Amino acid sequence: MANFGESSVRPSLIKGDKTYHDITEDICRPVEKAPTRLWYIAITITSLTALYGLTLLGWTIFKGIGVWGLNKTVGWGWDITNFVWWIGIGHAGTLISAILLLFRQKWRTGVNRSAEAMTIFAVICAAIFPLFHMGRVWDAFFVFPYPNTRGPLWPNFDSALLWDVFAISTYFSVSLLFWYSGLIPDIATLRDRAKNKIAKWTYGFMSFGWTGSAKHWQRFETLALVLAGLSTPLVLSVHTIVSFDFATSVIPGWHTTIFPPYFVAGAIFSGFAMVLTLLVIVRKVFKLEEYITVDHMESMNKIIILTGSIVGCAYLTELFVAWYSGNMYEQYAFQNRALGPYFWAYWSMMTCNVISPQLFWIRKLRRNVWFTFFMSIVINCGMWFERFVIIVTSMHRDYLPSSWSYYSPTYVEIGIFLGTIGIFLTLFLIFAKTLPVIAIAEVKHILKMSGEAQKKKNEAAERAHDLEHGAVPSPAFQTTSYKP
Amino acid sequence: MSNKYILGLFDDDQVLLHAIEKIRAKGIKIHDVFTPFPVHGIDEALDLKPSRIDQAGFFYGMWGTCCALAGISWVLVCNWPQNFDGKPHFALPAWIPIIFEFTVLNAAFGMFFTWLYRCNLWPGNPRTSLEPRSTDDRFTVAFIINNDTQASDIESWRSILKETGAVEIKEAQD
Repeated sequence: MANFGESSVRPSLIKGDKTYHDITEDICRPVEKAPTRLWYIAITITSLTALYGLTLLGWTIFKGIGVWGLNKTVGWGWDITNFVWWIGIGHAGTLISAILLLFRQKWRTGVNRSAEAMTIFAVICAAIFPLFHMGRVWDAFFVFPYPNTRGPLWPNFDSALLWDVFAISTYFSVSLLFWYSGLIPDIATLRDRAKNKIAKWTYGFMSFGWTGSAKHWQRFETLALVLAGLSTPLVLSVHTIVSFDFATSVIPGWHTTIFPPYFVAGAIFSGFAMVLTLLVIVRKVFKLEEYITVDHMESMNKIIILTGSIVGCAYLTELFVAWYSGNMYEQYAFQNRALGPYFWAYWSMMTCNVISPQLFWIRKLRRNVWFTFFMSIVINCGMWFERFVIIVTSMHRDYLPSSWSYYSPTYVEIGIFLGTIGIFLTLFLIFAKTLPVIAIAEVKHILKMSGEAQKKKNEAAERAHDLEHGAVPSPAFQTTSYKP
Repeated sequence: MSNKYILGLFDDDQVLLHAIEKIRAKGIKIHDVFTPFPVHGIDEALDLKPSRIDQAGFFYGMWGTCCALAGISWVLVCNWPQNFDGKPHFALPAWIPIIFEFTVLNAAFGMFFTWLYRCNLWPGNPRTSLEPRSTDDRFTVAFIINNDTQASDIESWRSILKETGAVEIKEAQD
């Protein structure tokens, strides 16, 4: 009996005795049912928050950037902090679907769809901030190189800010293609199940006429693999380039060569935290605990320990290098971070990002759903403080003490930030109600390898085979499930 | 253009693979096989040639690299040379990020649209599954009925489908 090449010590990724049809039913049910009252309440709150943020963006356009708390010394505040925070969150989706695909991590199939959706929504929120920070948002298209009547005047291709324009627009559009190409077969499933005319027409339109022909699947798999291969360096390049916005400058605390790996690790760290925040709720509300299992969450928590520790190492390395450089401006920048007027931000960052994730070394906590949820919120906050610390504390006391200042945001900046959270959650709620939150075809693909019932059947067959052929099964292979 | 088909529905991917092998061993031509997820081993069973989308992707990527390099050097060396931080006009290291991003952008979009084109997928395409359950839990083998098809052919299709373990045999029209 074929065991489809997976060891029996690996925990099963689909719990319960599921058939292919059960998988279709379980994942399509929340989409096909009418929205619950809870969903309506949630989307009302989030869309009102989004509306509040959009109104304040309108106010910013009407009055100008002066309605923000920025000043001559601190030119980047909450805006760029929020930009980097959202972009960081947008790293988990493509990491899960691309890098974990290349590493053949099967647990990604349970979480990749919603993580990819989250990526796209997070990048949309991120793009708002640099766009409005330009001041004249209606001229934003000037950043793209196109023949124009102003000379033609071209953007500066040597500048890190233009690299960022290319990195983020490429990342957004390639993530969108990756997400949508994976969605096409699942939308076809919804189309073939649809009962009412509007749903049938809409899903039919969106499924592009997919039938699941063998040749189409073969091309699909080649496309997915090569897109994953391309997206892997892409996802690493995006936050590398975001870090170049800082690292190519001459500001103490910014111009360090450690920035690219430090930012990428931080992005994955915060991205996984946000995926966990959303999935803990989704699996509970949509009753998908058999597909997004505690083992999935444990795997993500392990990545959080790894990336959290890398981030912690980076903080300490920065301190060491500041001391070791003998450069007084560099030393002052770091002393000022920990002990200056923004000490509260620094120590919040240290507590949330370095100390608290270490609790995940304890297996019990790593597998506790509510603790995971709590920690994911803590990490989200911690990573916001990290960006705030890097940006604001490096600037508010610059080279000339007479221009030192203190920056605090106005209600407009706070409102716009809340508004982006509203936009993000509204988009996610719409997604969760209209499209399958788990990749149906991919989960079916791993059912025979990683389904609980199938695994047990395979083991029984192997034991029977051994007995028949007189081989004494070694005790190591008699365990049925993984218990360390 | 409407065609008639004989469909054999299987409920297991391994049974399907054995069935395809047996059908093809008898020299019967299969029109197409529809599955709810990519079944590994089906390419060999149906003798499908490997997809060349990856090779196309390589050329799209190279095209992106060349366009970005040519475009940026034309702008910053020929059309509007400027002094940025005392860098040379041909500041290749500073262009690597944009060249890389543009390479990925071209390769990804090129491959995606090639895939859509080759599979005849487009928004609003009215084509649907011949058997609605083939996107759920049925693995469907389809034989096409055309002018050359004899009644005896249809009989032999039905009997081999039954023999190889099809759970349901039906007719369909697209």
